[in-house]
Amino acid sequence: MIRIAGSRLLGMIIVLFLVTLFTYAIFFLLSADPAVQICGKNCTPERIEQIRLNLGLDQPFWTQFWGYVGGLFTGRTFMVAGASVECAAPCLGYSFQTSQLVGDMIVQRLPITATIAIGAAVLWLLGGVVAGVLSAVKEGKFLDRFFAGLTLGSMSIPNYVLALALQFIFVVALGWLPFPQAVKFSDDPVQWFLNFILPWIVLAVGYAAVYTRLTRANVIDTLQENYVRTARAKGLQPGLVWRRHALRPALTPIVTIFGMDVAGLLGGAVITETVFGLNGVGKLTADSITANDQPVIMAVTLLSAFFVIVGNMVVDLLYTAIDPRVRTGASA
Amino acid sequence: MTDDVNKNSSPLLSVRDLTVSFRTAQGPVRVVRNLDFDVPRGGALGIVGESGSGKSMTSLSIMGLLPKGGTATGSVRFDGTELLGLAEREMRGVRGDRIAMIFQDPLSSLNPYYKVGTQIAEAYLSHRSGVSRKQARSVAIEAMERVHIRDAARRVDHYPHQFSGGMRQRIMIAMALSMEPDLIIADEPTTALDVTVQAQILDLLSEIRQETGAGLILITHDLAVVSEVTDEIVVMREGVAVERGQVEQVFSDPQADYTRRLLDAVPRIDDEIGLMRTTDILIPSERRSVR
Amino acid sequence: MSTPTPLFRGTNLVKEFRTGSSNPLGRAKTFRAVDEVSLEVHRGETLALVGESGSGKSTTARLVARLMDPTHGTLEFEGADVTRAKGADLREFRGAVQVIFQDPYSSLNPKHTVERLVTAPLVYQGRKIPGGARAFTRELMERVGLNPMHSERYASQFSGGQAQRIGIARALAVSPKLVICDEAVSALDVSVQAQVINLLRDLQADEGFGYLFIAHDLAVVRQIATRVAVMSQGAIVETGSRDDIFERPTHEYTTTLLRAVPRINPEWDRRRRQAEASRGASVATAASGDEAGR
Repeated sequence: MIRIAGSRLLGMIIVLFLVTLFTYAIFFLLSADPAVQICGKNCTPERIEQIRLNLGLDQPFWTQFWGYVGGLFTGRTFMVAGASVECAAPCLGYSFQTSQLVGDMIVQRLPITATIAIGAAVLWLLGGVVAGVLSAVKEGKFLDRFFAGLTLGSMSIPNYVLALALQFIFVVALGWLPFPQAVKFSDDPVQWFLNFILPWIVLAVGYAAVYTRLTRANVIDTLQENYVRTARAKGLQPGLVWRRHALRPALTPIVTIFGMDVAGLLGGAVITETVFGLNGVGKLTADSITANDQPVIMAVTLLSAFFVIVGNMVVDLLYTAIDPRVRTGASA
Repeated sequence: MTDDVNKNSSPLLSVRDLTVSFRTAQGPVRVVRNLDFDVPRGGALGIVGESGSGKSMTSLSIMGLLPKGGTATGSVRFDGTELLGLAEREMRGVRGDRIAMIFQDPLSSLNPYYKVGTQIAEAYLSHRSGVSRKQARSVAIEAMERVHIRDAARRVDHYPHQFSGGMRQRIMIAMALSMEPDLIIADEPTTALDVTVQAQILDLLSEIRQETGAGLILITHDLAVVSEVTDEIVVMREGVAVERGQVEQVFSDPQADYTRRLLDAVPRIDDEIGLMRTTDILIPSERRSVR
Repeated sequence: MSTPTPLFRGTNLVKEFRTGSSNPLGRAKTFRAVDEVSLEVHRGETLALVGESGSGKSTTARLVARLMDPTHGTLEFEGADVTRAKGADLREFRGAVQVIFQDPYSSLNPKHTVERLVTAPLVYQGRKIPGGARAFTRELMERVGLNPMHSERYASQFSGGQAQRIGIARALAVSPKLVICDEAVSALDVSVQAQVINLLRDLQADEGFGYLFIAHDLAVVRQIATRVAVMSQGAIVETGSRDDIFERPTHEYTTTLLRAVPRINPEWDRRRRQAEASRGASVATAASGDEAGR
């Protein structure tokens, strides 16, 4: 087991490295000269040249790259307007546009993203699984068809349309909810809930639809399994047959997918945050792309990749814990 | 005759006029038609047929486990109680406790997520009230030992995939046994197993029957197996019983044409010439060349 | 006295599989599925390869058919070494050696018509189809007992036994010299099985090809084998003529295997024959020419 974790860890590091390299190379090759942007208006060629020297942009690709990577582990120092700025490890760069360390920008915004992601995740997991199980039990009947239509609708509506529509209905027309703002739970739990409920719903709806279909399919398949027939043949109570022999096998794969989805969202729900104006990592991503703030774009890309890769590994390990066939090995 | 004698000589299971039909888009389809047979106490009955004969549906209807859309009519009397139409709660009491069933594929018939011991003890915990987990666990170990699984105290905590095919079938038998049923229904229990393992499993079943006096219904397509294991036999074809009687009688002097030709078709290990001369296709699903 | 060159000879065949460990740093373990197996098949005869699961018989069949390459050992076909044959030599080999598989439904593309399936080997080998595809197919279908009018039907529309006949027709299409039957009748109902075995025997009598017949059912093997090789755990434990193996087995495993096979009491068969003889009815109910299925 340790050996497996070890080799996975190694793989993870390699993938992260390759992602960093790839992303860095893309920016290096494709983006506009950052020195020009930083310089802003009233720029002279000498100043551009000066900035380029300061940033080390005259150096070859690999030097710059290793500089960046080195910064991730040991920190770097930046020259900004004559003063030096310390960037502690892991150094994700310095945003000249906002005059902030990228790391600080992200750290400020992570809690909001996490709140949105986790809240929505709980909603969609519960909603999706319950709807899926009900659909499977009442297969072909009205409830099943109703959920089928509902999920189809949910998957078809674009995120932002739903967000605006819900905002209009619940905030503007009915006045039940405030315009969503980032309220801290510790400040005011009730307001926190009321503010985040809309973003949660908007984000959860699409996923819930997928989870409903997935759960439904899994449960229907599992009910056909021979071991369910065995359980019934033993005269077990229906509740036991359901919990142990139908739901457990059917839902286990879903839990692992759930891990991956949440991990992906931690990198930021770009559209949801932007539409609601919530300052999470997602909105940061959108803003920085519009502004072409390279260090930030680079950093959020890395962050996202990091979460996904770690999530993947966690899910893998989770699988060895919950599926006996993976955990032990056939010794027959 | 006194009541006592009556009870002992009355059959354990008595099936009369059993008809199983399914609702399909083309109307009801009868997969079993007007089936009659008895299983005497402690006796062994073989139900033999090729695919489409309805033999599996017969066993499922006795257990009340027909798939969706299937209905059974007629009479299935088990130890005096009519099973068809019995309330589900009471049927559950019969299943696994008084009538136990063993299926064909032991790997897919066991839940891969739970330990073998858990699955063996499940029935015991369900059917007997006031029983502790510890007790159930020792029942499970005992059942495994009875089916000759070595090192049972340790292997009771193993998962199904950690056993070989033959062992898994033993586990299924242990599950059936743990409740000391009066009747065991085995649906193709050895079809998926190697021949040496098959021999062991069939021996085991005979041993169990001798020890417990349980009755056996063995469902199979293998005439040779049935000839060695059972006393009586019902030959089914397309849902209908074409012949019924003592095994020796049916094999030495079959009355039905189908039985005769089926016997001709079975390859013999000690003879080559003479018997495999079947040239007609016997089962209608093969005759209908295009569906 | 010189023995004629066997149609096929495998010598000291070994097939090892690597049982992968997920750790790239660990040494991979190997599993020997076929362990120094030597066998011969002669023209017009059937060598049956019997064994239980895990005995290596199916893997051996695949080695013989060159569907897999042996780790060690040689394969000779009609005296020529085909172990590493490639290109034109391999194509020639494939034209002479055909395989019939166990499950007709997964070895026949259900979306292909009979005609397409049966002529496929010739098409793949770039050979001309004598008499045109349709006529060729129909003739083959008649030979295997199928209704030639169904040559345009899809494989999925046929029953198990008929689908297996399509598989046999396909094998016959290239006029092979060696046919490998890999559990070819194991998935069939009893009566259909008997029919297909009879068909295989008749075809062999007509065409003179050799069969490598893989099976686990000894009773079936008894009906068709000339010689038998018994396999256990990758190795052949005993080889001999059919009668020698069945009546005078020398190896312990063979004896165990034979003893485990359930059998119908021969005394009952005898009584039945007597009863029917005295009743005047013949046991064979149809004339030998009738191959039903039309």
